[in-house]
Amino acid sequence: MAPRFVWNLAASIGFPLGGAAAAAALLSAVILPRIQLGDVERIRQLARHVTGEPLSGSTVIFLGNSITMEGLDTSQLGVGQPDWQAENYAITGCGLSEYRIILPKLLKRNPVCVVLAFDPMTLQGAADIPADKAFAYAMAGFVEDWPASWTADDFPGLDRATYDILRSNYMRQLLHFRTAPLIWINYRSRAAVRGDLRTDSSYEWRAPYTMLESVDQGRTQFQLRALAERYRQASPIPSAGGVDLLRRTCILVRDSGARLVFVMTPVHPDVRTVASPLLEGTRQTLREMSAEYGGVLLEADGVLESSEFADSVHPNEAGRRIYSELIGRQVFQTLESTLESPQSPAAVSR
Amino acid sequence: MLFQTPEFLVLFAVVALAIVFVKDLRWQHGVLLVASLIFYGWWDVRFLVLLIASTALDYIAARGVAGHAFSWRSHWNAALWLAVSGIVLMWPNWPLMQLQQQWDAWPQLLTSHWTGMHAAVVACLTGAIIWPLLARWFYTLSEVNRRRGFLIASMATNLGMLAFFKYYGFFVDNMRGIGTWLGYSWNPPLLNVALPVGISFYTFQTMSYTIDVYRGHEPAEKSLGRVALFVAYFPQLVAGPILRPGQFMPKLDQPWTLESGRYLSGFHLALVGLVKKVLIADSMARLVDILLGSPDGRPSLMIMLGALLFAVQIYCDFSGYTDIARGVSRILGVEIPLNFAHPYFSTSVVEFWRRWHISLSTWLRDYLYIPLGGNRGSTLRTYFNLMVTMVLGGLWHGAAWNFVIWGAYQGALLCANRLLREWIAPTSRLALLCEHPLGCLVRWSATLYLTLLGWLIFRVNSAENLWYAVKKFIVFDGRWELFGLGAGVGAPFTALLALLVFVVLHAYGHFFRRWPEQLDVLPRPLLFGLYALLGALLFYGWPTHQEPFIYFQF
Repeated sequence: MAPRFVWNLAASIGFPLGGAAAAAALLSAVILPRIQLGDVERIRQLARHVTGEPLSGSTVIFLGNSITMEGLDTSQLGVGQPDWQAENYAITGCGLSEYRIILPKLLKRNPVCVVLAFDPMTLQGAADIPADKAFAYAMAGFVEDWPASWTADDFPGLDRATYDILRSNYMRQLLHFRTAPLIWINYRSRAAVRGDLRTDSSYEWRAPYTMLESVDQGRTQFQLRALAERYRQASPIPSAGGVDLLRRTCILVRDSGARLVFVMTPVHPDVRTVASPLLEGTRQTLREMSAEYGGVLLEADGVLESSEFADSVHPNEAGRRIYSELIGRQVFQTLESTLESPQSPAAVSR
Repeated sequence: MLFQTPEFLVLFAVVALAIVFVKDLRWQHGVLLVASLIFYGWWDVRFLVLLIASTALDYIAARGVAGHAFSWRSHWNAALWLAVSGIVLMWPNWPLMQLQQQWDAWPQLLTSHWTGMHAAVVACLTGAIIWPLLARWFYTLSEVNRRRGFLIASMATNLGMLAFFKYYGFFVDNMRGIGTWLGYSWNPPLLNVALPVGISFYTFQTMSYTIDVYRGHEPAEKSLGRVALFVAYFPQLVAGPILRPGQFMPKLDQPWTLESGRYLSGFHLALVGLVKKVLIADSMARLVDILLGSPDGRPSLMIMLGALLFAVQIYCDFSGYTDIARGVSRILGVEIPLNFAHPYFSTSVVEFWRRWHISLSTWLRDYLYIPLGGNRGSTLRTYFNLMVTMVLGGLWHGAAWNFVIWGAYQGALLCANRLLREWIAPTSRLALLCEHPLGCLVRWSATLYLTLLGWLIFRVNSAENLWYAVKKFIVFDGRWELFGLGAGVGAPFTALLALLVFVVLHAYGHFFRRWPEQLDVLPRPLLFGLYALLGALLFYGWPTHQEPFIYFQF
């Protein structure tokens, strides 16, 4: 081969590869440590937040999805309870599988109570975890606190590919997050266009809500129709995989010595009827689990009016205040009262 | 095997090394053919049988057309090949294996009750017996009838295979529906036959070979290997451009070499194709899926945005693939003709079809529209020919009604275009106005609008959704809502950024110089810097979920 050809060949392969290698180094050393990527950033910050010294006081931790994230302001929980503090670790889309991923690390902080939130769909099974989130859990180090004996079988319903992501090495995680700059553009642009969002709640463990305003009526109606359809198509009986996963989670919390509280999160009145079979299934299962594992069930699915929702599922500011006060009161009361009778479920009312 | 995978790089490196070190032409052809078969078989090795069977049949047909007599032994060898390939192809219960990822399904073969399997095996065995007998019979006819006989047998077999693998399910579905509507219950088996990748492309290519031999444009090849390489040549095998024998066969008489200048030029073409596919088309894929996958309830603005994004996505996806194919082929020394010439700058529908998927539109023109009579008959006959050509062109894209409607829509637009040209006298004021820059701008806008409407029909594949989306596209509902974009999924802003980048680069390429050629003349330091920059951008933009090329499904 002519030297000129070899030089062209080497340049056409070498320079793009060099560019890609420089991009990877920049990503690892500069971009990923600095930019915020919504849920991914929150997961990473949560790991940092809970790593370190065990909590000294009596801390209650809340886990849930965006309903808990938007609807629970823990600064309003501990009114009149100076010895207690509460933190909201909810993450958008967080379900049973993610509870199980997160809990070993959280339980190392010795919380006195773990409150798990449930919406009508939570017990439908182990929802797929988006790859971004799975890689974020892996990168944040949640997996390092898992018991050594855990395998894919300890996550019933979770697909094998997601489990492999959770167990992935740093190089694979870095390659996955190569699109971080594009995701960052998306988040930032979205926040700039939509005035009803705040995006810097990743570090917030008391009031991590992001929605600043309610969305318009047309959009809410559109969402409600889609939600009703989703509820209609779902099976009213919780899936075996979901129940199995919940049982394992209950055992994990019980064995750590923390109190276990289940909360059925608020459901928009316009879809409550269509969701009622799902809610009944969830209620029944959670009651059984409460009885079996010494937990408490707080039924808050019917506590908010339409005007207290920011959209079809998330409470607005008024809803957040009401829901937080009710949950705070009930959690602290039931925590003390159920020391003698831990099985009693509590219907939350205003 | 996809171009943008490491497997392909390995395969290409092996081919390139073989070209450098193997000097014998026949051995070079052998290496290229084996590489092409590996490239194709990577999807599913069983598809190879179909490709080889199709090649062998057209080789025999073309030889028959040219008057070359085969011995009985050759006939029976071919028949044996057809029978064995038919059994290998059909016996493992294709649909079941396809659903269960191949080998898991083998144990179920003995207990399978798939009636279609028996029918297919019988069809292949019958073909294996009938073909040699037919060929013997054709030789007893006059020259004209012999030539015609081989041509018809080739067309029937090619179109039969295409019909079975691509349209059987569509046909049965519709027959069932019509039966139910008429009050009859007819339940032919639904075979769920897997669609072999690129079958539409290579079937058209093999057909063009036999037709060109029949027309006397090309000689019938003596070597089956050369015909096989023409059909299976890997850069353009699965998604075109559809080559004609005259564009490829002459290359087979020259030695294959790698040259420095040609290498860089081909590399630039492939690089531009990769950027189109990875950084633009794939950036839009998720948002297009969200907007047009379930358009019900969405406002006009979002439907229009979806159509615009899909127009860019399908162009960058398909022309990106074509650029890579052309680039790879140029490195090897075969110049594949241009398949896209900035179609979105067309100022009429006719011009659009001269710029979009040129290899298909010229194929349809030369092998369907002109044989139907073209524009040589009455005006009504010309419109009929146009409609038939475009409806079949639409159906070529896939077995679904939206493709048929899309083809009919394009045919109607071409008829309307022709009607307008006949109606407006060339020297009239209106004609002069149309040629004015402002008139060109209006014509371009109208063409783009009609093209976007066409892409909407192409993309939305359920009847109710299609009706809703078309209504919303045509009649603006006054809702300036883009709330679906704020959902955080679909990466809307990166898709819009990609759209902006595309518009700027595409316009530059159209009004100044095509991008691959622009790269060819850049000063070296700038060029190498650009390589590094593109390497970095491809690293950041390479999607975590690899989108398949859209035209692979056709």
